[in-house]
Amino acid sequence: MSSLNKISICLLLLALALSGCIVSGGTMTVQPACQAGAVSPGFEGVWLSWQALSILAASTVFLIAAFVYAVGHALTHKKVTMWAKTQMEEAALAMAITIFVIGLVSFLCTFDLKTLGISTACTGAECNIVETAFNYLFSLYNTIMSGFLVVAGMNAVMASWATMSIGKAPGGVGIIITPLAVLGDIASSLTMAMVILMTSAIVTLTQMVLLKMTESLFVILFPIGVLLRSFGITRGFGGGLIALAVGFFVFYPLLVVLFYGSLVGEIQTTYGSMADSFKEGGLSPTTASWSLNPIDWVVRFVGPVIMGAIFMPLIMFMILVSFVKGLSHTLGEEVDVSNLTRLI
Amino acid sequence: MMFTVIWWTEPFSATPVAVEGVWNVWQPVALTAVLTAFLVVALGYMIGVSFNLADLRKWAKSEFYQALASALIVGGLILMMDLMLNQGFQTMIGGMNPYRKAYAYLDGVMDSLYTIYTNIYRTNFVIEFLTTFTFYFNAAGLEFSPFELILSPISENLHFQAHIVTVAAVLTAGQRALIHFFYNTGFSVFIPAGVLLRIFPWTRGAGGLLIAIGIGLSIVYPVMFTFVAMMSENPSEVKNQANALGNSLAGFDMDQFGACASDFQSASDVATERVLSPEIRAASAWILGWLSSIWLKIFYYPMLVLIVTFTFIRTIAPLLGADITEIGQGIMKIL
Repeated sequence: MSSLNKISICLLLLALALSGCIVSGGTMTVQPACQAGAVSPGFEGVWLSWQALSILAASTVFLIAAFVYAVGHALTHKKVTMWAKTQMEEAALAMAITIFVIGLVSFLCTFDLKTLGISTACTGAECNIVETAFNYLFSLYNTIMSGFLVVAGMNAVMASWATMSIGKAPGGVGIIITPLAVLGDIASSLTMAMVILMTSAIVTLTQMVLLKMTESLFVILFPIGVLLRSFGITRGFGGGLIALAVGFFVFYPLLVVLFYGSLVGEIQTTYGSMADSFKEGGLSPTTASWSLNPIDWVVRFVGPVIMGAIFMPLIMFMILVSFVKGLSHTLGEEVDVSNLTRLI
Repeated sequence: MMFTVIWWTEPFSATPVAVEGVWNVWQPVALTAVLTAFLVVALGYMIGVSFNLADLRKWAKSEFYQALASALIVGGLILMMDLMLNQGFQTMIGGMNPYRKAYAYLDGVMDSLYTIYTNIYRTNFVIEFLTTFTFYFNAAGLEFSPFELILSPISENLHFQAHIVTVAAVLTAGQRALIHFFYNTGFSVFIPAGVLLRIFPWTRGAGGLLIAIGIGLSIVYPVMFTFVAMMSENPSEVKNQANALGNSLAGFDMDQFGACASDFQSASDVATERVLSPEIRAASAWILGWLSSIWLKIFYYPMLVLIVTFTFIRTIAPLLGADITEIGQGIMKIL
């Protein structure tokens, strides 16, 4: 490992330690920003120490810049005064960003989405954007898994019927037949549907984890970003960190609410139709609904699930990456997060 | 827990929402957003002049043009909505509603696939059953399946066909769900949200991309399906052929396959003759033949439509302020 990498890792560990992560016994605990419909006490505690540090950093930069401005003005050095002016603006901007984002966090944690007309079954304390987004994904995940269980159950029935053999050998000589072997075809189709549903469930679960993880990462990335953004040398990097933190903490849940709010109900409806067909069809392969259209109901459920759980995240990440790039460009340095999407 | 969005759109359901009503809510919101952008620019310029901040004045000037562009986009969208709702898509593209055409195309393909699947199932029922027909000799400890050698290639072929049909049906259902999703949310969620986000410089990229995706998947995507539907044959033809195949094999009678023959030799002769009969051979040839006729409809045309749509999004997004060159390339690779 090169010494540069070692230094980077040391700096990262130092930053994590400073940001309030509790590292003990090889595990690290990070406080989420919101908890029970309010700003979490952990975040408030972490932020109290960071707030002072950030304001101290910004004030220091402001004071130094003011001093340099005075010197530049006295020496009538235009370049120096211009530089000092920019630094003062940036320091003021860093403080403004801090106040704005802290206000935004408080707003997002406590804001009840019902006031915007979003009808949810949650109570006031759980109706903030992160919780609502998480609940939509959770709802989708539950629907996919319920569908998976129905398809798996049907697959087991079909596979059992397909292997049922009948034989008769009165004098030691006879015949064996497997009359419903063709149901193996349906079992194969159902197996494929199960693979797709499991993949969709994994992708949805990943999004749920990402949502919770980014909520916690915000507590780490945002204060570091604010602090780094105060100094000229690290301004670009700090701005990038703020953009990443805000993008994933604010914009990503918003996208989830927009996309899945419109989609989950439809997927639940198709699941209901599939479950009803399952009930009507029953276990006997001779039932009319099986012989007429054996895979119709499964396909009508799996199609929207693929679109919602696999295709939609691609679109969402395209928009999210665009947002982060735009914000990081405004705040300092353009972050190339497009590499992240290549992993998907 | 059940969640339902009644914020910008009705719940995504089988019945498409009244886009006009939703847009009536969004129209003043978008106009207010544009006016806010002008207000912010004016305030920025005033502060720039007051404190002699050249950069701020420059920024305010450039933002003024962006606000003007947003106003033009909002105006263009209102005009487009009017064209769609009052003049109708029919007038725009020559007497055809692209959504209806796209639904008809995809539903036709789904219907054909189900018919093919059902007929493969029916055909294979007989063949698979005969394949498993086994003679058992206890004294010799011998099991013998006389038809397996002859029929296995056919039944394996049918398994493969059933697999392909399932894949195709799932992909078609996914596309139908996609078009239905954007029919309901394109003009009621994507474009209005994009217009709002485009107002502010730091969210301009995301807003522009939302508008580009909204226009691409709500307009270009179904319109492309209209052209594809015009190019391809009537889906009911495939369905009729599949039904004809199924009917030719209906009324399965074990006796026809030598089940009632007095000895093994006669049974094998009858079954072999039957399996190699012109009907079965024709049926097998048709089963192989459907692939080429429907392959274009299932995989090639929809892929072409998606590629054209994403190319459109990639082209229009930079004009609206979004840079998706790298991401767009990734999506094209996935396609």
